[in-house]
Amino acid sequence: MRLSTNYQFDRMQSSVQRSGQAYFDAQYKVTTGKRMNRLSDDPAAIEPLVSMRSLKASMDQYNSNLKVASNTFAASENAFSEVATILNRANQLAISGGTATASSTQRQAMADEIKSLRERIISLGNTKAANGDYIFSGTNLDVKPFQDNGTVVTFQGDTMNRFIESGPGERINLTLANSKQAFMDSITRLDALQTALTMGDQATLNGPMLTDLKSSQDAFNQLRGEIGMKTQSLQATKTNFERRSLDLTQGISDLEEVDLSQAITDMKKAETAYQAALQVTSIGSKLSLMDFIRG
Amino acid sequence: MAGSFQGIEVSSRALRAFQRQLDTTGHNIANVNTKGYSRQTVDLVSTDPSQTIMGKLLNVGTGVNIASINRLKDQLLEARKLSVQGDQGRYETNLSNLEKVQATFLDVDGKGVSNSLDYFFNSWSALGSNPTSMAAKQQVQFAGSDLAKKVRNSFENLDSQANSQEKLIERTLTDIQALADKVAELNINIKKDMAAGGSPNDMMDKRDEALSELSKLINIHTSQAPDGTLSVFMGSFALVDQVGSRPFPTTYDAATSTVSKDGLTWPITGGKLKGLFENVTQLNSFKGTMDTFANQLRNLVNTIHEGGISNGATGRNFFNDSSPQTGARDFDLDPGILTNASLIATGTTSAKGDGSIALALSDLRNSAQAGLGNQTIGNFFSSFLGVVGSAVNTAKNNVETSYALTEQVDQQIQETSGVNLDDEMADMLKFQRSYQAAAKVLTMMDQNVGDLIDMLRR
Repeated sequence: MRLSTNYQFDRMQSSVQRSGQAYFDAQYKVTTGKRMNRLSDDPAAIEPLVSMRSLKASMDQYNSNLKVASNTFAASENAFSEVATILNRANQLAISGGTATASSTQRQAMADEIKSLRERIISLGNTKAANGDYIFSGTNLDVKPFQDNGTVVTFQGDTMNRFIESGPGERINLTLANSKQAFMDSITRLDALQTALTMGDQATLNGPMLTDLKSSQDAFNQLRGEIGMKTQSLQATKTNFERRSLDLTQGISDLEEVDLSQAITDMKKAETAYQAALQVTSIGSKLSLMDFIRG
Repeated sequence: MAGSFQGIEVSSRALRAFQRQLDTTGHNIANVNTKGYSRQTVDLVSTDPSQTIMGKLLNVGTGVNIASINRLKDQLLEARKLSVQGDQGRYETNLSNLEKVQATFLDVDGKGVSNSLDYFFNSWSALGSNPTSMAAKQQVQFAGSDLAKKVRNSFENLDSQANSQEKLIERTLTDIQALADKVAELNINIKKDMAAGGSPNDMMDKRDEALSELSKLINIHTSQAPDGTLSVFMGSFALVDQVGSRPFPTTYDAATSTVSKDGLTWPITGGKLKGLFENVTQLNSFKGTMDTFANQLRNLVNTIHEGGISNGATGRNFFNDSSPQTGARDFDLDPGILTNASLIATGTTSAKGDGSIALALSDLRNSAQAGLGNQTIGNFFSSFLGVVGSAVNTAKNNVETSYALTEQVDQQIQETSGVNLDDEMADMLKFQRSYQAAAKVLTMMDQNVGDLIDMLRR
């Protein structure tokens, strides 16, 4: 084959250029640590990469939604446990008020204490979350749920459910369906207890009153159990998120990051090829018939 | 009959011939770096013998003469070169366009539309958890406006790229005309030269070079007439004929890849022009995808948002909508929501804690949409990104293939037409020695004649 000088030099030049470019590319991968720098670097990996990233971002959001839920549940639990204490106290008062030895003055003092316990329960029913939302008013978050005009308490909230998003298409209900009834019943019963104490109605105090208070206590215990269950499932979701988030981070890094040892080996290879191209060019371009002609 | 000076005549003709060969070698060496230059050789031919009678009729050789100066060129390979260069021009244009397009999508770096889309849905999810929070509403407002801006920007980038391709088409049409004119002009000069019996090698090289440039712009084929003129055709359209160049059509349709003039249309099948037509068509399809994306997103979000209570009433759009829909070009928030985040609806009731609308909007990301080919909104966009990435790779492969082909043809052409300095040096030595020998013959002849004259002087 006949070889033109121009072609010979063009080929040398292009092989130097090509191996130089390959060396540069390999170097770039090592220095950035990224395998995906452009869409065309691996078009097939774009869709999984984007959806994994999107899933990971949404998980971060779900996680912070879970915080809202766990805060609400913690506040509810605090309120309920305090209500339980109050109901216990009311129970004690009912029992001691129901004994024959109690004087009317003592019963009056007890009735006054019940009055303050009633106010305390109302105020617990109006518990606010950290951001100022009432936690027992359903979705009427800005309205005080239990309003007291001195004699009668009315419920101003609603019984709508409030949800947070806890996963793709998954929701957690923040509303405890029975909380309204539990609070309203307790308030009514404390009212009745106060009246019975003032009247010295021993029959009521010893009989139906205790049963009523017991059922109020039961109602709140049930609510606390409900919260306990919800908190537990919340924890499970959270743990699950942490694990999946870790998997996703791994998956994303598999797709977009280079395997450094591989990349460095590739770079070394490219470097050797580049050196060889330069060497061959420098030797090859020195050869010329002119050096052998003695003019 | 041979005279006494015939020997001198023979050797001086030889000297002239060898001198011409040396000149041509010099010309070859001088043009070793000239683009499109073809190696030239001097063809020698022995001159007609002179007849002499020395007892019988004898044919005595009279030496050498120059038959012609040839340009070493393989016309078949030249035709092949025109075709492979057309492909190269086309695919290079595709690649450079697509590389610019992919650079405008920053999703790999986490700064693209897909990332804003995630942020947008997450902000709704956050609002759903915290429906009374003004900050959460402002976050939705910001995320929506950021998403709209990214969508608009992507569209604008595609649009301005399409415009620049249109401008390049105009310029390419002008370039095609200019090269056709150049070929036509060289045709005239070559014809004149050949009519006078010359061999206008260097002008032919220039014409070939112009054709080579032209073949990068558009699909052409040529046919040579005996008078030396070359006609250039694009399909059935004669760009240059024996008369001169014809005005190339300036009306075009990128979608069908045709040019038209006087009611006739010609398909464009290769070259940069074809590449530019393909680019415009592809960019328009990308723009269409962005429009679909924007319109679907607008409809889906608005349909849910309309059902929510905003400022005491239902029916407020989240994204600005007009009829007919404008796609991605001016995709933006509802003007009210753009300035006042409190107009964002969170629920279907007037209760402040009703986050049902916000949750439904966050949930939108999980559902497959019929209008998006049964993909989710996020998947629709990421598969679009995949399409762009694959298109770049296809163009890259095409360019590499066409490079390999042009390189191969180039190599074959260079085998015949290229100048090799070592060859030329060897030739130079040969011609130098021949010249020396002829000079020696001349000296000897001169001596013979001199001896004869000396003899007469005595």
